[in-house]
Amino acid sequence: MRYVLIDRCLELDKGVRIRTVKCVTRGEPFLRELDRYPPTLVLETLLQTGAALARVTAGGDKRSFLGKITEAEFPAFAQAGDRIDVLVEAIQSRPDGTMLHGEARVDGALVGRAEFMIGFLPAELVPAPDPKADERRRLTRKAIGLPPVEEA
Amino acid sequence: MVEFHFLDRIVECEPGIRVVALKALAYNEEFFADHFPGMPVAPGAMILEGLVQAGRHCVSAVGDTGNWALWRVKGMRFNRFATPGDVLRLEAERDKEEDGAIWFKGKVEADGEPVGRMRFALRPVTGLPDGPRP
Amino acid sequence: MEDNEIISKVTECVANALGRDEEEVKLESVLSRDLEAESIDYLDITFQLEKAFGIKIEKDELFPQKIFQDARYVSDGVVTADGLAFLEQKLPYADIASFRVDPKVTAVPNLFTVSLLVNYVKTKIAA
Repeated sequence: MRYVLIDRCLELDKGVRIRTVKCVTRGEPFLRELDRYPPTLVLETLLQTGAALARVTAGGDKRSFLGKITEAEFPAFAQAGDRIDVLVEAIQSRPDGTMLHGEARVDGALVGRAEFMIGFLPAELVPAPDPKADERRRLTRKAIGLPPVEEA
Repeated sequence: MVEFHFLDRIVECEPGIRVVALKALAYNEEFFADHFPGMPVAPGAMILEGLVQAGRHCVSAVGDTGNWALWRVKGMRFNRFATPGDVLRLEAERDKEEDGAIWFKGKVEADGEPVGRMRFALRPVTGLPDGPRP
Repeated sequence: MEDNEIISKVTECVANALGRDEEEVKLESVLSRDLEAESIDYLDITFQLEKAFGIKIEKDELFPQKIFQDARYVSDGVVTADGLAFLEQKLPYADIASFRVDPKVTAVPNLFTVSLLVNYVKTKIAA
């Protein structure tokens, strides 16, 4: 499936909050078989929205990554035809990472909530540098015919 | 009700106790195109989905035919990125019950090295009507 | 606040931040060595403590990164006299005396125990 889970951004207040919208439809491949939007995708929606806030706040061309999820809960389900209203707020922005808290609601009802941390490349929050992985990536890109990654 | 299948193979199953499953990561899986362009990394939420499906299999293996959905997650963290070419080994071990929900300890490895761990709870849910809501 | 309550809440904060059961978190547990805390977790621990105790922890106040980054403080993998003074000033409630015996910079993380967090919180809320 395509993996951009932000349909529209309604508000972005750097370092403070972001509001987006995610529509849930049978047009999405996995929902042709399911009754309800998988909670893991509600989670991903929250994470992508939070990452957008963290990235825009940090500025420049930073790549953001999921650092960790402290906790998350999914009290109700979103279904095909629903529009999810997403609100993520920055709790703490530090150079080493941003702690965020997000809520996803359908018609005011909470379908997901998460507290998580987004880090930036290159930074200590990304899992430790792995020269083997870097070499593997370089070789793979060459094999597939992609241009080399530019180091920041 | 058919769930979207994320797991490739169940390799170990102690019904109701523990399940180990495999999920291979292929560059041509659609989510890699967007996550991230030019630097494919398995999304944490997808790895969680794999563990959720493994946990669900663990529960249904004892003959429970109900639907189990992800309710809560605690302490999801990663040691390294999972990338195309990795075959993820996902292990879900039943931990405890809480208000009818079942908590699992989840562990993910690739090539014998840790990729991440998390705890998650599945709760029983009744089916929703098929087709568009009236 | 009673000592027991402080210990209990700090334990809960560390357990939450590190995704562990509270039983695994002991007073003498070294955050990095025993509980596998990584750099990503120190921010989370700081935040959980702020939330639980209603305190404000300034950057580098609890987990001073500078010790690793300043050439005055570390030389050839050993913490210098300046570095030791810095640690004593920043972490008055830590066990620097034992650390002085073999002040390798790689051993600095061993100072960060749950017990240190408890002492820090006590100092902070008494202020």
